[in-house]
Amino acid sequence: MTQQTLAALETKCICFTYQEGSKALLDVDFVAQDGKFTALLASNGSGKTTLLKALVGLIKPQTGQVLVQGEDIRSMNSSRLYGRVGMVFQNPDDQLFAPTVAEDVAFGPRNMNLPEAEVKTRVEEALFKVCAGHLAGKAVHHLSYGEKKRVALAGVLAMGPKILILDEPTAGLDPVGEEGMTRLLSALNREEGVTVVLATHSIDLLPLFADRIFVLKNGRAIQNGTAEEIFRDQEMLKSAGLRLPYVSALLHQLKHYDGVPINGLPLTIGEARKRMLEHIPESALVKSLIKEPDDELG
Amino acid sequence: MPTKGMAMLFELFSDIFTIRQSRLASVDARVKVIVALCAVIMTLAASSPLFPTLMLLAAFTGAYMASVPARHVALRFAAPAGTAAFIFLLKALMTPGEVIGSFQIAGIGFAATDEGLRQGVLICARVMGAVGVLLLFSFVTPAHHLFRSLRWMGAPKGWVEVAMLMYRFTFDIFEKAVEVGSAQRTRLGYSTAGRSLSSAGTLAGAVALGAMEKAERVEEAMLVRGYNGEIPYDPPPPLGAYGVLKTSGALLALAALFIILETV
Amino acid sequence: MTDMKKKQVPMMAALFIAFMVAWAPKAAAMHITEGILPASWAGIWFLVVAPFVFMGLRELRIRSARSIHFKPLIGLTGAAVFVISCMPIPVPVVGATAHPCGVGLAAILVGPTITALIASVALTLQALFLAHGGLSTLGANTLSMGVIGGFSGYAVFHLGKRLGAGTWASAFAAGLIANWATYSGTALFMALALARNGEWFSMFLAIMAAFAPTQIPLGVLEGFITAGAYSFIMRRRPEVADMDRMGVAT
Repeated sequence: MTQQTLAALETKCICFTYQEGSKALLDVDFVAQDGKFTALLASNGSGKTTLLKALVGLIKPQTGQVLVQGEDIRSMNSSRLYGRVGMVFQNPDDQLFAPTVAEDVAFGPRNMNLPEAEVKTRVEEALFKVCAGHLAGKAVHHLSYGEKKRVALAGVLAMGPKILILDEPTAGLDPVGEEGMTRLLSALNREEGVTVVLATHSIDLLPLFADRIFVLKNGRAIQNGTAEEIFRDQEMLKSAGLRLPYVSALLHQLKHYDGVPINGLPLTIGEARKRMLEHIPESALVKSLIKEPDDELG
Repeated sequence: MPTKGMAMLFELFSDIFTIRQSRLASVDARVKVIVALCAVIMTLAASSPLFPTLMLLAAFTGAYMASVPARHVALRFAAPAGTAAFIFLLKALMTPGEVIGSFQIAGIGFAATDEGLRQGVLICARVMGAVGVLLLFSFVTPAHHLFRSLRWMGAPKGWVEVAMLMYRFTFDIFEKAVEVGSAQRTRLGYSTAGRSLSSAGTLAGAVALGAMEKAERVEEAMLVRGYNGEIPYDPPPPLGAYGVLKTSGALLALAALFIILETV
Repeated sequence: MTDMKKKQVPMMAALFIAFMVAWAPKAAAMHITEGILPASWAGIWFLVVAPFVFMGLRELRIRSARSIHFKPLIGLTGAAVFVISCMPIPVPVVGATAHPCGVGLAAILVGPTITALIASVALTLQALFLAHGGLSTLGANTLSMGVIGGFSGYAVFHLGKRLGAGTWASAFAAGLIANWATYSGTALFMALALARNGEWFSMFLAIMAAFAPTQIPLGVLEGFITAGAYSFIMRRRPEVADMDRMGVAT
């Protein structure tokens, strides 16, 4: 290839100021590579929802460009743009507007003028992907919050976007729901090659799946890199109102305050276990009593 | 606080019973809309209380078959029954005719007339019969089936779309109203009459404003899913010979009953 | 003797019924219940109200063509007005609870023709799912609430503002008048339907008298709530005041 592969989604120096004068985005350069899992990490009010909205053209930055596979979104009509880029908002109640689950999921495909048979297949497939096939005939107002969240995702998946943008996909979910949603997104990314961009607070889960993390502070992208690179810089994290994952904080404290010579900075439970075992003599271990399940997170 | 008691209302409003399996629930909603409408019209046209009473009994039977709890049925009938009683008194005491009974309350004389009683009974039967038909319909028809039938029958598209959005979001907004109301109550917003008044105004304002702000978010979510000003819909398949047969069969049976009961 | 009784009856019955209503407030539902109107009157009110609902639909179509935001906004505002109209308000004098109409607020927020449209939808949903009102009485109920209530509230609000009254006072008057107008309309339609031999006016007075103990204070309360709600919205989002212009100006 003569040319570098085009990023799936890219912003070039975008600035956005709200009408009342508050500056939400300042010269943000953001890149999500094709087929990768990119996370936006930021505290509340740092402009991440604004950035996500700019990525799908819901707000128009005063300066700069938003490119989808190298194409400026200002030159794309809405059906072309939204066929490629899907966006799932934080509150599922704002995104489900049809009376039943099946009708709601069919909203996007029908707007794409697909034949009804194709719409039906897409609805079934999308609901199956989010483990909500059994909800198809249910009325939206009879769903639980977690179910609504999954159905909202199905509504976007049914349009078959190659790029999926999600605002706080795990916010408000119980621990099992949070894990389920994370697995689901990870599977979409790894198995179907969907480019995933999400904004999140769930620091403890993030290192498991994010290929690249962007940190946003007061409307600026102050840092980006792999999870290891991001979490190494604790001053930066602190200034952005963030923290280490708990497991890393534990090992960090053992290392710095108790003098346990732990190598590197483990970010996941599995990694942390390995590092800790390095310092526990074989003779001190009680031989394993319980068989380890193989799908443990980390 | 003003949101107290609303929970019950919304439980009633929700089509929760229609998801239960029953023979009537599985009937095509279009058939039910047509038959129910005709049954209401016949009930109103009845000149004897017999046909309306039959409709009321049919409604009770249907509710029982659809296993709707008796308490729920009673709650839904309460308001119309109150109105019916009010109308009965108006009619019985204010229709000229032969006096068949009189009494005094606090020195004021009242007289019930035979014609008044006759008209009162008839109108009460009509009210309860027609309400019964509607309630049975709502027990066995989920809202989205109704909307789909309405569109199929050619109801104005804009009207049905607004109805769908209103029905869908009523529940969310109601939850918000309860939240705001509870937050006010726990901070003593309803401790005196004056505070109640201003809290109730704020509550109504917060509910309306919250809905408008929600509309902005809903619209964004609709836009990214290709909304272009119209909610698309999948027309139901043609009613078919069987559906037509069922509808006309039901209508004929109703008409026959009507004629028989009117001439008795 | 019968004659004398006949002359006395209306006012006395009215008093008696007013008393009744105070004890059984649910009886005086703000909507005409299914089955009360004879077919002829039901049909007439449908014919009278139809043009208003179609005007609302036309406005909806035109304005949503200009602003894609309009339809979701109307759906959501309609739902909010519906929820507000379900709030049980304790009425001080009779010690009962009643519901506000919400049309005064709707009319000053979205304009009177859209209010007629929203009212027709809300009343249909209520008739079908709550047995408040009814299908055959839908025309009459939409006319009294959506058209008579909505237009009078809207007119009073703008008249008040033109006469230099403040926003709060105008909104108060809108809520009050919209509520009373709605009930007067309902009472009139019921009287016309129930009365025979041209006695409708005494029937109307009787029904009004029956409604009065609840409705007079309720109207005042609705005025307060409308004014409170509208001034709350104005403080928080003054640009919403232009909402009934949305799709007209933009």
